[in-house]
Amino acid sequence: MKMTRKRLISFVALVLAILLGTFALDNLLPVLGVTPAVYLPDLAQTYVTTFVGLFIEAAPFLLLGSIAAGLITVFVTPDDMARVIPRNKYLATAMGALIGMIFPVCECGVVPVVRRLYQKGLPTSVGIAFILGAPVLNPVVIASTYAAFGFSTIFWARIGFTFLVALGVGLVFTVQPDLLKVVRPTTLMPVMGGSSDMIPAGSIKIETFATRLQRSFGVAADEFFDMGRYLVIGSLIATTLQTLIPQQVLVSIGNSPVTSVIALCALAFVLSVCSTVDAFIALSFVNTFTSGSIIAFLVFGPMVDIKSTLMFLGVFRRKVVVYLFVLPLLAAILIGLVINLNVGW
Amino acid sequence: MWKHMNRLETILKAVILGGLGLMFYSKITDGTLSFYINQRFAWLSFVAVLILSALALTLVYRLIEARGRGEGEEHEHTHGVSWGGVGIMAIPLLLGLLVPARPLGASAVNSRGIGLSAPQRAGSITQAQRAVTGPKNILDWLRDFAQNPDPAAFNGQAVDVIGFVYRDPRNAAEQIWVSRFAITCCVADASAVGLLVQTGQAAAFTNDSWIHVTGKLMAGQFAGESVPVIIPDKIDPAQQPDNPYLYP
Repeated sequence: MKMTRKRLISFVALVLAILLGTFALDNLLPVLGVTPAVYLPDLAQTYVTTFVGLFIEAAPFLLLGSIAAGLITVFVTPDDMARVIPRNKYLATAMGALIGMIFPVCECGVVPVVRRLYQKGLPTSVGIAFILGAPVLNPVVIASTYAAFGFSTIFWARIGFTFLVALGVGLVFTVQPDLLKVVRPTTLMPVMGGSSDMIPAGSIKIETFATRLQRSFGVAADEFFDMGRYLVIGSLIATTLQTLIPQQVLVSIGNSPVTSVIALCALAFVLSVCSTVDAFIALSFVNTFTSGSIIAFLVFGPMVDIKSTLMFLGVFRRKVVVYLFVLPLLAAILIGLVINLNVGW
Repeated sequence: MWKHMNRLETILKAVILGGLGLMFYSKITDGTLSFYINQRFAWLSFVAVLILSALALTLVYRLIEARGRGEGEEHEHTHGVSWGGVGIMAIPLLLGLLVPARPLGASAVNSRGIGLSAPQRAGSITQAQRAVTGPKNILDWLRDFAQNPDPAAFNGQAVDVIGFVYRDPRNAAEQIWVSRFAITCCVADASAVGLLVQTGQAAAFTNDSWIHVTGKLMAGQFAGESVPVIIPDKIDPAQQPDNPYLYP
């Protein structure tokens, strides 16, 4: 009880410190003649406004996603998740893609979770559908996609096509039910003391709710920094493209029905921005690129990128990782091309 | 050595988290948040302040508890984040705090272009929220123009708009744009829209200065097409509005 009151006081103190700090920055320092401000020429100013704007819009969603990841890591066991999966192989695969709606995990959190699910005995196809579907089919990502695009064609297309691709690729793996042929041997060995949700040996104690909450916030803080740096890099690149590259160049690539799709799929792979906020990166291109390419970006990016490929290699055999890269890529390109050339959204 | 690294890293993270909270809060209080995002998302920034404070606090506890344990510090849960990985988060912090907030202006139009087509996007402010009191703004007019392709249909109608000046290579010698940025979500999707103003004193106006134009519409020429153009009665200098963007 004493600890909780101390924490409450500290929280209030921190909030007061922030308020005081803001007041000082805005009011006292200028009076003292100290205005910490960097005045920039116009183009640089535009660059900074665009970059900071991206960060301001995206950060709250990244924070919410981090909190969700932290809570899931500490409070949800693989058993809880496995309980929700139906018996039937095909329904189970579909459920695997949708599990993120109940237990939201970010792109980065997906791989450690699937490892634990496999250790619990979940079928191959369910794990695959989960890896590809959960990064998009969860409340935080849906909310940020709505914030960026509203209830538009792009919004619904992202959700619908992600589900179809995750389900499709998952079903492909039903032909190989033998998990040992799909994952690396180390995947199925229980991890000793290293994973975040296991209490370190030697300090076995009954954890109070408050302590577990604190631990989940600690995980959330680490997640925020892990994912935040990709957001910063992605934002810098998107801002550079939008501010420093001549409009004509962007338009000539962006308006072409085929090149635009290839370009944005390549960008999605390289950028590795977390799916909670990649909608805002995509938004930077909404005025210059075709809808098909943006949808391809939003579907392919969360499934496969440099960061997640590296994580896949830690869990799956190399041949499988190739499938996990090629199948979603082909699907995304196909979707983008059909939308641009046939449907004309 | 490793223990020191972790402590320093945790301190750096806590400072960055607290600093980001400060940055968000200062932009909320001095009203410049609307320079970056649509007003309807302002509450999200407030949520960000709360979460950032809570996370900073958690790291402070971690430091206090680690110091309490002294030498027997447990293996911290890390993802192997390096100095660079953490320091990179200082970029938005420093830029957000040190560079004064200024909305997108003429320089951004140079990068993004300007046009007469009003952006149409789902998810923008609903009709009900857009209380149409007072004179039509630039976006309202462009929507009207889109409905009626005949520019002469607007001849003689009275116009009263505010915007910033922009000159385009496509502009005739006595023509300037009076423009605003329209955003749906945030500056990421900002697009510049404007009305054309026909005036003999075009050369006297500098890019980015805000003006208040009253006059009448007349069919005129722009980039080889016939479009409605403002023949001004008065062009006064104006204050940049608190909320400089328009929401489609």
